[in-house]
Amino acid sequence: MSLKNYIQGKRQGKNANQLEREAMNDPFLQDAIDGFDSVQGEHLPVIEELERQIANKTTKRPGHYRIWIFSAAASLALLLGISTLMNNSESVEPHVAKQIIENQIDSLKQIFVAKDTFVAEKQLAVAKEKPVVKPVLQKKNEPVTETAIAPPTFIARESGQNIENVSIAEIIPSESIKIETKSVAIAEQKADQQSIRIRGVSSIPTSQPTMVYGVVLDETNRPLIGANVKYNNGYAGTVTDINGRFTLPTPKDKSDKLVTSYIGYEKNVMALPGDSAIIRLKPDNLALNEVMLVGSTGRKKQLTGINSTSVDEALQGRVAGVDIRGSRKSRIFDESEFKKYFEKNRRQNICANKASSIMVGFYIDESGKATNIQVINCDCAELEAEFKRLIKTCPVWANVNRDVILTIRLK
Amino acid sequence: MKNNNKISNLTDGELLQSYIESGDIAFFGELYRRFIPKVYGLCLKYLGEQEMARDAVMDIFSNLTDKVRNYEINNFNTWLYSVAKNHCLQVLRKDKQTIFVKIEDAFVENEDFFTLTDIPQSQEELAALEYCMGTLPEEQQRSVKLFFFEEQSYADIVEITGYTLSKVKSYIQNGKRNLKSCLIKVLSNK
Repeated sequence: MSLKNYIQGKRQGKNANQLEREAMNDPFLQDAIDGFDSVQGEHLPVIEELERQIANKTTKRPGHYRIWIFSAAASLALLLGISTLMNNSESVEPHVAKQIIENQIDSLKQIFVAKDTFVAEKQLAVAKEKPVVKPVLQKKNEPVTETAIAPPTFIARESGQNIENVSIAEIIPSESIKIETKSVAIAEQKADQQSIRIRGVSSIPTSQPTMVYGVVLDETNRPLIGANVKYNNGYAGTVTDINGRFTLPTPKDKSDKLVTSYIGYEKNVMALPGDSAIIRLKPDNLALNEVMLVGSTGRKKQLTGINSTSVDEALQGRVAGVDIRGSRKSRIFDESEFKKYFEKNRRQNICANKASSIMVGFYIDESGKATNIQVINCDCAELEAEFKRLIKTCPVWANVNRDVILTIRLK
Repeated sequence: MKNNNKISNLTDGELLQSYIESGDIAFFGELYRRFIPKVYGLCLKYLGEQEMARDAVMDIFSNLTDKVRNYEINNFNTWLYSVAKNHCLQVLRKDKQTIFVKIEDAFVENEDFFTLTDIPQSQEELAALEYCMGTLPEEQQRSVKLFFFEEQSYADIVEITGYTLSKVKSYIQNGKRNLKSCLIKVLSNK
């Protein structure tokens, strides 16, 4: 299918699919499709007119020669006319006459050169004018400037293409945007941050804003850096910058919702703000303790699970120098907690499933670890081995510097 | 007019070459004519408006006739894309106080994937593909299947599944990405 057909709305069927797949690999085609989708109007007549214009400029038509013949005839006639003038008038100086002739010839030339000079002049004009380039700023805070907003444009930079620099500028909110502090918001997206998917380019704004600015704060009103802000429909997404600020293009689908998330905080879903938003996230206190750690041995299908009810417990003892104390009072690690821990983590089916028991004595040292482990009584070697294993891997004991005597009976 | 028929049978590359060698603008005219819809569409996207886009198409043409001779062009499509885009950006910079946002597009299209679906290389790759398709979430799996394996267009898929157009596009995009990483894992883990 040709692009012309697609523009006309023929979007169904294998041929349309083929064009769409081509567009996936050809950013030029994708941009063109975006353009036709984003701007209103009858495009086909314009295209045909352009084709005509180009054809006129580049093909030699028989009609062309007529112009030259005409010009030759005209200049001849003029020359004749002037010469008769000269003959009739004695007062006309020869050099004046010559001047007149030259002027006439020049004016004739101009008619035919006009078209080219027009183009050339336009190019000159383009070259002469200095572009208004705003330098890229590393500063983050600037007073609000009074510049009016022109149509903001989003140009996705292509990777792997030899395209000259797309310049970067700061985003200057207009006076109508209400952001807490009066400072310039800059959205600088680094390569390794989350990508932004831009679907279309906004047309010249009338009353509708084409960008959404915002800031994400935590419950103490401090900015959250690196929070994830995206649209529910996956239209676009970004992360907040060092000031907690973000900018997103306004989606065409007004029913889309803005979803803000950050680890350790509750997800926030809200309807589309007009042009700006202040988003406050609430901490999600449960999240961390409900994480299940899963490790892999590296082989494809085998996974070892370290089942743990709390991240602190799982980390305890694994990382040198890391000492995590339970934060909740009910989780003070003591004898009864150890018994629970033992029962949960021991190997099952030891001691031929007999109701074996073991009595041990040990000392809880300064750092909450069991030392000087003495087995007082034990009727099963496997049980002893399991105890010794688990007394090493268990969490830190709460009450330190004391002797403990413990009896564990297998159920 | 016989001349025109011959010209329209040439490939883009041949047209370009002929123009450079002969200087006959008819060749270049035909070449540019073929790209007019794309250039016009691109200008529409960046300039946002028909009149300006129309002017841009003609301006780019005028500038091109010289440039084409001065640059070594391997791929006309890619080269024209950057010339046209830069022209539009220049226009924007000059005419209005346009604000530019630099964006990294992390959704890079993967050529490997494309070859895999079109021409499966081996039984092994076919099996890997089948397996990885199975790992996709339902919407992504459906969309990718319809688009690549059943050659349905976006509009078709919207009709069939009831997903919105933008969702279809993002399911396909994410599905491709997930497939790619799955395939890499599976095929390299031998």
